[in-house]
Amino acid sequence: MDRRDALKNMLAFIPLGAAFTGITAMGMRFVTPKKRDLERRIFTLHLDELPINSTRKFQDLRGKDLVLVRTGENEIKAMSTVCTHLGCTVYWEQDRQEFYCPCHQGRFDKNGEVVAGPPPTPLETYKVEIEGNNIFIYFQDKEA
Amino acid sequence: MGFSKWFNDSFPVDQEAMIKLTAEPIPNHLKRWWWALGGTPMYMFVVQVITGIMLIFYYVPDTEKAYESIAYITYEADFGWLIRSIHRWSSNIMIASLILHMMRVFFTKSYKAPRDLNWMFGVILFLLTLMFGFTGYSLVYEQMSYWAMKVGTGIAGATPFIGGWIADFMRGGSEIGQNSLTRFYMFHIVLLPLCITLAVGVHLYLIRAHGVTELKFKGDEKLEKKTFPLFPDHVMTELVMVSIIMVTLVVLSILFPVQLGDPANPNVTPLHIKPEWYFYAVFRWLKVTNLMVGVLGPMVFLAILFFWPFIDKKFDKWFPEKEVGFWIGIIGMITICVFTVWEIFGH
Amino acid sequence: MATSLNTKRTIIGVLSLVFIVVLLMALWKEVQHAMPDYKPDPIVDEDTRHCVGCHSEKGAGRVIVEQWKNSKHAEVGVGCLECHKADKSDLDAFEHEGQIIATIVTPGDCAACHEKEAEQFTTSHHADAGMIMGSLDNVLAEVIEGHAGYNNGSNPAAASGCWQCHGSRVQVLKDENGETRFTDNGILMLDPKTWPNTGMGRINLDGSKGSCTACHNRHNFSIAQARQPENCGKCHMGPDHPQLEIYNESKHGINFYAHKEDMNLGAQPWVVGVDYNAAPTCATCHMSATPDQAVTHDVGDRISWTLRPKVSEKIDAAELAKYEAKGEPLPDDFLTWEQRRKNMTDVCLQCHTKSYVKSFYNQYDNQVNMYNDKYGIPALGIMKLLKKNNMLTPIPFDDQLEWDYFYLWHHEGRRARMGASMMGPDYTQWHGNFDLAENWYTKMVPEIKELIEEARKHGNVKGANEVEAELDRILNSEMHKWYLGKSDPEEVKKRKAASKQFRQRYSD
Repeated sequence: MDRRDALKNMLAFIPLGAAFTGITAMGMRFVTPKKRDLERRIFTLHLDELPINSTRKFQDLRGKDLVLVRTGENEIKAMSTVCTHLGCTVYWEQDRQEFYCPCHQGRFDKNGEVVAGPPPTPLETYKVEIEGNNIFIYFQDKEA
Repeated sequence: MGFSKWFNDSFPVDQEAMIKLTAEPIPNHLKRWWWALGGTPMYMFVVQVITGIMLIFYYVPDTEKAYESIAYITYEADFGWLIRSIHRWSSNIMIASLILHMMRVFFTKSYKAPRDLNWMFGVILFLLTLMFGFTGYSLVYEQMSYWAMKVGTGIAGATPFIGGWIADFMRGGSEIGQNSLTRFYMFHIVLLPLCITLAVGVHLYLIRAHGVTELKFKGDEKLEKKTFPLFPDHVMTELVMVSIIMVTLVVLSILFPVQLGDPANPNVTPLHIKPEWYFYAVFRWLKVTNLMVGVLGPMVFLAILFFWPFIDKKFDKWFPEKEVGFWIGIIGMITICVFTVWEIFGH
Repeated sequence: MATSLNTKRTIIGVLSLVFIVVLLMALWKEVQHAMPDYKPDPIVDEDTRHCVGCHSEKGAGRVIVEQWKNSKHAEVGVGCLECHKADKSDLDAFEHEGQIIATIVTPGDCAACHEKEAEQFTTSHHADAGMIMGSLDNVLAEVIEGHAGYNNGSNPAAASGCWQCHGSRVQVLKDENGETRFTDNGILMLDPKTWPNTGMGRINLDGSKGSCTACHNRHNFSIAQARQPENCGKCHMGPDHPQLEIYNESKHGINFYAHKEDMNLGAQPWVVGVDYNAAPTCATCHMSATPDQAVTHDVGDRISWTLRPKVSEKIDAAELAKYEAKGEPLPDDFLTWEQRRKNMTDVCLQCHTKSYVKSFYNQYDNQVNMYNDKYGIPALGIMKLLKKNNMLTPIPFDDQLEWDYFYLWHHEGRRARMGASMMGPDYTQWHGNFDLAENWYTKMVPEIKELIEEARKHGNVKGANEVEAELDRILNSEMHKWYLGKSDPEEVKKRKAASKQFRQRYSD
């Protein structure tokens, strides 16, 4: 095969390869899950429904559990109940004022900070806003 | 130990046998484009498998969620509309090219012994392809899907003796419901692909085993060789076909993207109900005949088609030189065309 | 017809390029989102999805769900239960598909998220609209016009008329034993005497007052719709308070309809002069934000006069009097009429100059004062005198004069005042001052004279004299003396001269 032939081959088959690469890329894009970046403010509870140092379980719009902890007069933390170690769901222990993870005995205080066990980071928090008697949380929606 | 040696030791391949298997010389008449009509449906099937697998990423075979998942694919997922439209157009082209292929084989009498068994496998392939279309269409679970399932299983149910069992088997019960959708989904992505892969394998093997029928066309006698090489000649032909098909599919998808009708409503039959175009002739036939004749008619037609090599042989024996088979083929084609066109314009 | 290898290769090359071009077109289409409109289901929690599952299939619910899907509520994840969830103790609560719900959503429910608006609304006059129960209008509707004899005591004049704007007192439907009634599929039934009703001052079963949906129509809850003048016009129209008609006549209204597309009605925030400047709507002046004021749902916050009563007074006069009587100091958030006028002026100043606004208020105050002085106060005085002297029967609305007086203050007087307040001169003049004059001089004055004669005939001389003296006093006053031919001769001469000049100029 001489050079002219090789060139002609390239002219014919490189576009073909490019086209197939293109459509493959489109296909890959198709099967990649869409991401969404949306922030929503949702109403959870009235302030007078949450006594100080108590917790209430709640669910975000995706059904994921989260817990509201009132740590002070106007201090409320909203935290995910997913342990940051390997993903088990923590329990709230009212007497010890701690979150306890049964899987590997991790413990978090009422602010979500790690106090014992293997969890590497504090519990994931949601931004909270208090307006009058209403407690709102900001829910980040990342899935399509 | 070099890598090549390691690989050849672990994965021994008989080079000579491979070359002999794949590089078989191709008879000259296959240079003619009509003969590409056999490979076209096969290539379309490959397209269907690839696009079909991609659709499975998002499709949910639940009566409550199927429609919505298809809406997601069509209107939300990136290039979802393209993948789905290619899948739909490819199915149409697959069936169309399959019919043209059957016509080519019929009118060139390539079904004559010893290729009669292969013809029958071909008819089986044809039926499997139609069932692919039928089951796939039902998965969308829009109005047309649901009522096609209802009517289709109803027709199957009118088969003498075993009809009731067949209908219940297809539906997964006595009514169209969740079981039906699950079964149709399984037929479409597991059972039919398995069957058609096996049948295609047999079909291709028999073609190779018999060797392709040699036909003489004007101008070919002058050629020195009676064959031409698979690579690069026939491969290039195939690549041309592939390019044409891909461009056609994408252009059709852009110009005529597949949409969504109303979601399935078991209580309301749409006023203008129609199956896919390849069922029009049967649909019209059912409208103009009573149920018994309506169901038996297509069955008789299929039986004739299936056993055609033997029927044709008989005609040749009884009416030599009269080419009865040819004329029956013409009449059959015209009949189907008439019924199809009737259905297109009729009400 | 065999094609050579070269040809095939060329074809492949060309087709590949075509393929690439076509793929680029597909990419373009994808980027353009050229697919027809499809709104994905809003993300809401499982409970709402359960509601939507059924209600998007059957009956009227389909439209409701579609409307909701297009609303801001759906966008932010506010679904069915966020509004319709009820407390077990609510009188209209009932169990449905595992949830305790109530059909009617009240300001009490909306307050869960819209606390400020609900609070402002509840303290406003709008929320009190249902309190007409003790008024003369009520007597009109319930006794004089209507009859409470339909469907177990329903009075259509009230139920289909007054209450549809003012609001009913919602009741649960009960059977003979006093038990709450339910439909066949377990839905609590509300008394048709009182519901459907989206009146502004509806008295709800959960104790709250009013109805947010009177303006914020469900289930779209479109802010653009709420800002349109037609929205207010459902109630603020008609012979007794034609605010919508006055607005439509005025330059404000003309500009609005001419430049509606520039109004940016759906914007949030919606600040006059910043987000739009084509024209004001009702909401602009009475509620919406200016660069210096926030939105208020208390529609009285910018009103200085009350144009409703027989004699107009400043809007804070009644409240002030209450505090004075009790000897209590005014609360910190008490809005005087001056402050309210300042608030309204702030809106006007977004488009008009200070002197323009000041002069307008001058004209407006003059009209209100003139009505008060010429018709309002005299007519009220004389009606009181007639009643005191038993010259009218104790039965309301059985005397012609009572009807004419009602027209005077309730219809014509209001039209004159409101026409001036919102610059609708035709209403001020031909539906207002003209009608007032015609009524007073051709109907009321002759009828009062008749009553005087009647009283005298039947021996009520004291009453007859008292009323006659008062009528004389009125008719001899500056504003009415023309009627007695006592116009100032100088003035009459001047008018005749001006009239002659006019005729010369226009050769009538």
